[in-house]
Amino acid sequence: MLVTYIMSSFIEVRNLEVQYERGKKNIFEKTNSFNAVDNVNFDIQKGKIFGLVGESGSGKSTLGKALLAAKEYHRGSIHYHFQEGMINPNHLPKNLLKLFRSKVQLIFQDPYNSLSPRMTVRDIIAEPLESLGITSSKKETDDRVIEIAQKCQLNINHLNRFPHSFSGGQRQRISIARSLVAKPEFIVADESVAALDVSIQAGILQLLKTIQQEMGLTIMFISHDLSVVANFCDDVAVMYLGKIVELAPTKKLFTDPKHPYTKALFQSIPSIHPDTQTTLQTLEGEIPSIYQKPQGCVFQTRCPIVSSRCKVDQPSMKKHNEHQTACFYST
Amino acid sequence: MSLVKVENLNIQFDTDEGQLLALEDVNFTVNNGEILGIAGESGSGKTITAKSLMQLNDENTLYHPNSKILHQGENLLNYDELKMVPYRGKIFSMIFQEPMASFAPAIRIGDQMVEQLQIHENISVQEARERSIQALTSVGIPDSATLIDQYSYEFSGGMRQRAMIAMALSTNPQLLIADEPTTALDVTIQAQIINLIKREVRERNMGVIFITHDLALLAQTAHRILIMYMGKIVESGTTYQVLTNPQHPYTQSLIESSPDINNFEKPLIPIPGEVPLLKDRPQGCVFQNRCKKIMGEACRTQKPLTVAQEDGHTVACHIYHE
Amino acid sequence: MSSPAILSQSQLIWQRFQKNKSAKIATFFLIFLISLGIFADFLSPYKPTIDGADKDYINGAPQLPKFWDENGFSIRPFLYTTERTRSIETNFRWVETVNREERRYVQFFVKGWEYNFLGITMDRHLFGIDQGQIHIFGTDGSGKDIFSRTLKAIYISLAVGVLGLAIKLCMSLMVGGLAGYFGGWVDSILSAFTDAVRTIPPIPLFMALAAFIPDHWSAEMRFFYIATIIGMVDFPTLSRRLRTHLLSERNQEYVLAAKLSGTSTFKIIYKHLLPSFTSYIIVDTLINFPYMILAETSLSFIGLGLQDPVNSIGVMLQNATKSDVLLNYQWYYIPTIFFIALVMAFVYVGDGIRDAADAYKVQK
Repeated sequence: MLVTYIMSSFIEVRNLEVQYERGKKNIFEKTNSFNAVDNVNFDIQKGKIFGLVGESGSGKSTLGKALLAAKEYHRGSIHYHFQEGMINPNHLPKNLLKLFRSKVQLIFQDPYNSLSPRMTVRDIIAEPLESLGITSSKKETDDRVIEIAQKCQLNINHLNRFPHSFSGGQRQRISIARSLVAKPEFIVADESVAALDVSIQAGILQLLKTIQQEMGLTIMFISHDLSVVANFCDDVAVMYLGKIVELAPTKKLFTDPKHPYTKALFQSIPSIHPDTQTTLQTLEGEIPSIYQKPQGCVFQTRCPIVSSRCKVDQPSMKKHNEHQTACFYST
Repeated sequence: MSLVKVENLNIQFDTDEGQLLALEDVNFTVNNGEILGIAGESGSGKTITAKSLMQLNDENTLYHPNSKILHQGENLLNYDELKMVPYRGKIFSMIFQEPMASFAPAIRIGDQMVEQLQIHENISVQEARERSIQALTSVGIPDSATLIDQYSYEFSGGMRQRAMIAMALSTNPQLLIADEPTTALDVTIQAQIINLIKREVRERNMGVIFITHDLALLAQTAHRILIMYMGKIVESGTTYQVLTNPQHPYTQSLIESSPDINNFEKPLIPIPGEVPLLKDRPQGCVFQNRCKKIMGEACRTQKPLTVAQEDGHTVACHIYHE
Repeated sequence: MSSPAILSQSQLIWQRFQKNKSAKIATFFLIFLISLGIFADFLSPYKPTIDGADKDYINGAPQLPKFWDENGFSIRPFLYTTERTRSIETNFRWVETVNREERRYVQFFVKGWEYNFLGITMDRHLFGIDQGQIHIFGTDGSGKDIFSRTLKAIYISLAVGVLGLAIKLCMSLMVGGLAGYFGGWVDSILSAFTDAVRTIPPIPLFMALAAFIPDHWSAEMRFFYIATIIGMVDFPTLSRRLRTHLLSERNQEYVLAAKLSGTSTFKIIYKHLLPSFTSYIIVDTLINFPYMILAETSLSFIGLGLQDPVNSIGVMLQNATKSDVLLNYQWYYIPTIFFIALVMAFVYVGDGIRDAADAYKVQK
């Protein structure tokens, strides 16, 4: 007898819309709001690394913020399936918010700005433990701080120093240590390696991979750097002007991209092999302003295969073997 | 034909901690119609090198008496401020990483471009404005006669970078120095800008020094590459030579740690350690603390000489001149 | 010297400060002047109030002790005995007859009038004289010793300044802090209030507030009242700076990081945002301190501030405007020198700290 388990995904996002208000020029103007994230659907499985790529205006950072309960969303739903129960990050009551914060954390992009300049490294890393009431004594806090600092390959003799005496790569490790000290289940890494030199970046990625496997973490990796995403992530979603245009496991996406935008994106990426020195294929035009999203498909203004249908109807995500695309004409 | 020749460029910074070596024995040539890539990470000295060409370094920068930057036989390091004026915008021109930084926020783009032209050439405002409009059109900015009167914040990132290139090229420079020009741009816009630069190089036969940390970008853009580490050129050669047959351990490690879109599953191997601070510059080879192929006493105590092979590929490493 | 890595921002600033020669000299000088004020009672041979007046030496010129005269050298400084007379023959001007044979020797650590120092009643003073009185800076119209009064005035002026400053600091932190952190309508209301206070011209405002003081208030109450209004009128600038600082810093990533770590709003302001502002507060405090003193001095000078027996430099200068004084009793102006020195010392030290702190704004 077949027993079918209906397993819900770890994180389910359905028809998500996140709005921003455009600043008013005076008090008489009506507030203009626009959808930074527009009708987005996807699932993230536990223990996987989910990549989110896009250029400026794609909405990837906003999506990350919504997942972190750092920005409220306006339509649709986000559901986390923790062991303790299901949590929706919008408008959480105080006690649930604390629980949520201990389970979902963020690693920042800028190693220079994300560490409080007047606090010692030890205090910076210890902050989540103290604010969320996870540890009950100074000794317990210190032990946890030392444990995570060692995991992140920080010198524990330097914990009483201030951030300004560390290099970019080390600061990012401090940032990571802070995010991990409360033993979260889900991490959003928003451009966490973008500000680092390539040789240091490789080290941070290696560290993240090791810790992810050791701690069973689920990671959402937001980046504009496709080569890094291709190397690091299990699944990838491509965003353009607030919409997901393509979503597939990494290998499938990068060997067989289907959406015209994804294809154009890949052709713009330079390869480190000079053999392939050709003119980089370019996408004409600029990314349209987020305030003036076109009716119909978001990509119509730059799409090489645009048709009249594209200017009127919005394509929905078509799924074929784990590979989803939002285009009328993708093969 | 050699456009600029840099010889024995040695620079020290005068700091509270003493005189610290920032550039060590930098030698290279840029030719007309050629894109020379300078690759390096933070602290490699690539920006100091670029700024030295225009003598934009501050008064704490000490040049060694043997250092020479030669253009048409003259050593630019001997030039005073007045003589350097044409080298800042006319003969040499520079574009930067942050396009917002190039344009003053409260002055219209057109006014800045006109001012730039009038400093370097004896032309009327009308003519300067005409040339600026043309320059903007040639870099692909639509409706340039109208947009020329906008402010820099009204332009998008890509358009600002194009405007900066237009401004840099409007004086018909012989050499364009581009310091991380596309790092802040989206990848599709980056591709457009790269193609634009390549086209301009072909049409004007000008030389370009292209500074970046992105080896893949240089692979697709540069004709020749210099790899710099802590102010020293550790390897140089044609793009093909350096990237397909890297000789210096740093170059090899750098390539190993760089992601490759055509082989995205390869593991990225980090380089252990950090770039030392200027005041902790090691004796002997600068890369010894992080080198996988360190050999012994020689590496720790003696500076490696730069060895050139027949095809022009050079490397500064003890492995190659034992 | 310890490596800069383990030093906090304030320690780094201290190191930098020490390299600034003029600031260091000013600091020593400032400490000296402040000590004069703190130890005023010990250093003054006579009580600064009317009780300590010397009836025999009204409007007397400064008496500087000598070590040597034709009668020989003396280690102990001394003064001559003098007799003062005035009569119609001398046009009512004081004439002194000096008796050079009779010496009065200056004594040290003498017993004198009682005073209260940190709760202990003491009666020792640094110096005195074996007969009669010694007035190093001369006396005023009622015979009060100007030297003693000057020292006491330094103390009072500093005290008013400190109290005013404390009040100003509290108000600025509260108003600016709330406005800056919360923004929105909280900010709008608080900023409107701040601007209203700022636009009123200070001197008329002081005068108006001071004119309301009921006559029956004691000198101490007057003192607190003056200090309070000085502090309150001066809060807008610091408050606005703090508000601006918070408005920009609260969007920094490390603040978001603290929020995501579950840190409460109050703790975010206290642990993350305020520390970067302390150096500004210190500099602002030191540089504005002289204005507090100036404000109080001006008020007292025109009679609206402190009054006898509480005397400050302003009070002392009240009587210095008469032409009689200008022509004959120039020593009345000696306190001005101290006042100027005090203000300049504060300014130099404040400048020095600001220069040292500036170099250490959050660095990469």
